[in-house]
Amino acid sequence: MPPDATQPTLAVESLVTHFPIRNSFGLRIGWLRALDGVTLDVAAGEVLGVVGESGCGKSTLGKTLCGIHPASGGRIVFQGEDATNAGSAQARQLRRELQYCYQDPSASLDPNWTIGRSLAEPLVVHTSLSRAERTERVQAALEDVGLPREHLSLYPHEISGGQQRRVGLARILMLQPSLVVLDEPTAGLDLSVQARVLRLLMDLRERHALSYIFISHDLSVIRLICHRVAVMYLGRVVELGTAEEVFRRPSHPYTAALLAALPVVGGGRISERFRLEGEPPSPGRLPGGCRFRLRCPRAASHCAQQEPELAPTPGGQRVACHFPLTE
Amino acid sequence: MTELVRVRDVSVDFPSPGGTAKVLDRVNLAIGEGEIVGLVGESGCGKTTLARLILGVLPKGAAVRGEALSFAGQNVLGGGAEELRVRGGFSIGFVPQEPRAALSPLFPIGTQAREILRWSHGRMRAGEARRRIAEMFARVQLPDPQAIMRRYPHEVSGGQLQRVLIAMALLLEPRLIVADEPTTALDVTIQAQILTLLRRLAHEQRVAVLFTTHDLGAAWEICDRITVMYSGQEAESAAVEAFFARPRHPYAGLLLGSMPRPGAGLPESIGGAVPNLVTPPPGCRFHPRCPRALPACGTQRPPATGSATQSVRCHNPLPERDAA
Repeated sequence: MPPDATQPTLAVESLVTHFPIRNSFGLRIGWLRALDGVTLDVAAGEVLGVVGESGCGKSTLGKTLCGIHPASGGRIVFQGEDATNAGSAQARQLRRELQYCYQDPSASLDPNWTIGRSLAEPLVVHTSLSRAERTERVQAALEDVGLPREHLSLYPHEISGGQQRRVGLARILMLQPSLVVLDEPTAGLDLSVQARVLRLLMDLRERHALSYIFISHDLSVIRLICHRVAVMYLGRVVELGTAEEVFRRPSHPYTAALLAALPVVGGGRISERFRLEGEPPSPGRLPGGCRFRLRCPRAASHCAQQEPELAPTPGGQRVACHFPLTE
Repeated sequence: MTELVRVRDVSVDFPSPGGTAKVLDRVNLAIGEGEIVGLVGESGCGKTTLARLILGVLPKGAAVRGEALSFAGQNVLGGGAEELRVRGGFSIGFVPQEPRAALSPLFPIGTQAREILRWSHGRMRAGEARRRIAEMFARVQLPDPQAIMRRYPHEVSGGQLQRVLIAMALLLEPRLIVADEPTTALDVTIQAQILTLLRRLAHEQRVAVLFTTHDLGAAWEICDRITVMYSGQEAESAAVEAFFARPRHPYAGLLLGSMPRPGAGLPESIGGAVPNLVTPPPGCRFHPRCPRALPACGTQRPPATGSATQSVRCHNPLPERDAA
């Protein structure tokens, strides 16, 4: 099912999430700008990849969208309604439609509860289904993710990591959401297990008409399954475009560096093409102007004075750079 | 190439609550002088156990049996390893997966590096030790080595800490470095920097590296040769180019097929699950999942066949590269 670009399920405008930095006396000594003006949208049925290095704000983005962190500014519009810092009644409604899938599957499962009980819990909270109906739904969800029924009476520690992820997925499917934020769904998995999880994700998307925000640091996975990609660096989207275009013709120097760092089996070694020095600065102490300029091979004096905004390129992407790469 | 390390038919058993876990089963591995060898496989395949066997730091209770475990021609199986390491000057550097867990949070980095020097080189003037450490820190491209030496591990980023650990491993002037998943915890751009550095330093200083990883891409980047392990047995051992052009063990072929590649569609997964190590299948441990299994596979461990550049342990290997 191709995504329908005419009806965005989710639109995010200049989203800002700041966390206070406190000293040892608990006094605020600054702000950590985890998200600093993020603008993007997700179409119905689309898989939007969010990629970047640790500390770039990709998890904060997912959690702010789902209301786990409060937004400090900007707007989140979900299915035509303003969902920014929703009040409790609206938040409850939203949580059925918009689900967050944790990176660490065991973190979302209570170790003292059987898997069956964990799976049924969202139904108890959000629906008025009878016990028999709940059991039926739980069994259907377990079947959906390819786990045997016997797993219902097992505890989380009794199943493997790959199976825990499946249970995590089954759990978010319980309430039949339309948009799921997947936070590093394949991190730490072996290759063959990763392949199985990816196939399952694509299969579930088809069958339940889901949209995904797929957060990952793994570009090779993002490239395979996402329609569009947002590349983040230190709390901002620096490039946004179709996966095909972004990977074939990256416009932002940071995107190009990320791609150059990716091993290509059978291709040249990284040492022949990779030139990016240094590490990202702390999001608590950002440089003025463009945040990438200290590591950027194309940085000029203009970059220190003005922070570039996301602007369309001739190739149809959007890029936040004063000197984007052209062919 | 002169042989530096040789593991011949070595098995390692661990006691476990369910019985004896046969973690390594008659494993073979060779590392040449100055060679970077990748040990590749999925979790539980025994790569870390093999690395620890070579480092001499297997946990208590491990039972080691086999033909030979030799360093520079000296067999140390059944004792004598300590002797060789301490008196024979055969030191092995270690670069761990989690650099933060490998350093003490209580002491500055410089103090911990001096500890290494004191252990390997005996007493040394403080000024001389500092000079050597700073020089090594500069060689691993740490900015401002003097400042890093004064810092505590928590004040330094993960990528820089991994450079510190590589520098500390090199301070030993080892002939072999064991790097256990050294870039798994790092971001891709930092991984690229570290892999490039490790490869350059190893080749410059003629240090051999045993690099364990589950990341085939990283193995391609850095290794000269790779050995693929499955459930405690080595499946295939080959020069990287030959291996990635055409793997010959069915497991290796399926593993490569499960790697995401641009333009290739969704990767294939391998059917079935990794066997448990208490009652592993007899013969080739991959045979219950293998699409090419023959009756012999369930009874007999296949011998190593093939060439020096690509040897495979399989009764029914994938065909060799076409004559063309």
